[in-house]
Amino acid sequence: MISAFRLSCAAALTGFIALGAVRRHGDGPLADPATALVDHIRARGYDVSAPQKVLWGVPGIAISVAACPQPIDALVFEFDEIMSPGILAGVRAADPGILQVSYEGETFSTFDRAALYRLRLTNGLAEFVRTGQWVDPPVILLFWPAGCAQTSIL
Amino acid sequence: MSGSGDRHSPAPAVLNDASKRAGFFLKPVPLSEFTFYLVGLLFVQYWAGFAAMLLSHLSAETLANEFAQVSVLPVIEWYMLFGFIRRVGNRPISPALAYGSLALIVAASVGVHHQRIAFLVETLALLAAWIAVPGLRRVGAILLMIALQHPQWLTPLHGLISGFDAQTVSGVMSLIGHPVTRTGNMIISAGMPDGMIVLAGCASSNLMVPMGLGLAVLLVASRDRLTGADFGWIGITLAIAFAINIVRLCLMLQSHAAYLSWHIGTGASYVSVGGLIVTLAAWFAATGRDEARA
Repeated sequence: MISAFRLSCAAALTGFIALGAVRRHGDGPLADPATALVDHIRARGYDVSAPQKVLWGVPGIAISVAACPQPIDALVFEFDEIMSPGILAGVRAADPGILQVSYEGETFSTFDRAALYRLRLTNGLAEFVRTGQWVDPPVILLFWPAGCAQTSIL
Repeated sequence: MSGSGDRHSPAPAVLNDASKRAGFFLKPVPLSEFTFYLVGLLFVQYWAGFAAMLLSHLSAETLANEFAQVSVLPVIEWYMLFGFIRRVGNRPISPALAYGSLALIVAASVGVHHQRIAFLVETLALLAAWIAVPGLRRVGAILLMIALQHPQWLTPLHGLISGFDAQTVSGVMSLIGHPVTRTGNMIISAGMPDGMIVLAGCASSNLMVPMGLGLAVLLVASRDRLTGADFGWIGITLAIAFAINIVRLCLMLQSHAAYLSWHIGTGASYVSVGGLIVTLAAWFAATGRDEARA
């Protein structure tokens, strides 16, 4: 006779598969955040081109803004990557433009670590509680050429 | 009285069935059966996404982008875990613990919409519940170590280690007569005048974690008790993993072609294969000494 525990495990396994858990939890290739940014920027009416400076394979684009004679370089960093100590110093040394940080729709004129962590914690937890998914949007670094008035373009 | 008794005569039978049914689920569960089926369920959960991805995105490019040779280690770890649970014994465990553990897995699977995060949550909770049960405690520890190997939640650690890597690479390059300029994690060398940055993804811990935890799992599953020598082997493996990555980063600084090769090309595959070989060699060396003694 099949034991109750085996039956319970079989039921759990059946439910796991029947509920689409395999599809829902599939570890598919990650969506490209740079592509999503390009779509977002184009939807807002800006022109997008290849970045003037390609930094170490970090995804990036250049955004043309009417008020600015030169395009603005935008680098798309994973949150944990850019938060690593020592990364921003290297980025600033490589790209001397005037830095603007965009995360989760909010724009900062400085790289405010504490504010970014606060946003991630509050928004991330709220999303996790609501949907059960941990969504981790990228941090976008914008490098404005000298002489351009910074606005919120994202 | 007799009429009344006749009217209620089916009642004792119903109660008896109900108590039997209740008893069916209230019986203690043999430990070997509990462990085998529960770990089997976790095995399906752990690998389901991988299998689904292989089926839906099967191509050499996807495999090359998503997996490294050192990723073979979890396959061996699960194999060893199933070998270990055959030795846990057959004493009964309480139905509360058995069905509670199962309910926890079901709840985490339904509530957490990411397979590997659900697996981490489950293993943490299961280890806490099993900590006082000999045999199960070790199964829980192995499961947790397998869960921790997934890199997703270790990026902050990799970020910290990447800074130390950049400093070490800078020191090593100076030591061998190729001084470099370092700003934070960015290193400028003669071969890489535009600079190379050590991001979290290039940190030594990306190799140290799978190698160190992988060896720990294999050792915990192979023997009854870890010895001081085992910790020595784990330490040596971690040191070799760190050294391999530092050499890789130094080679990446030689030229742009070298950077590409050691970052994502053939050189990166050598590193991954090397990591796998070192881990397995350390495991064979640690367990082989016992067999020789026996």
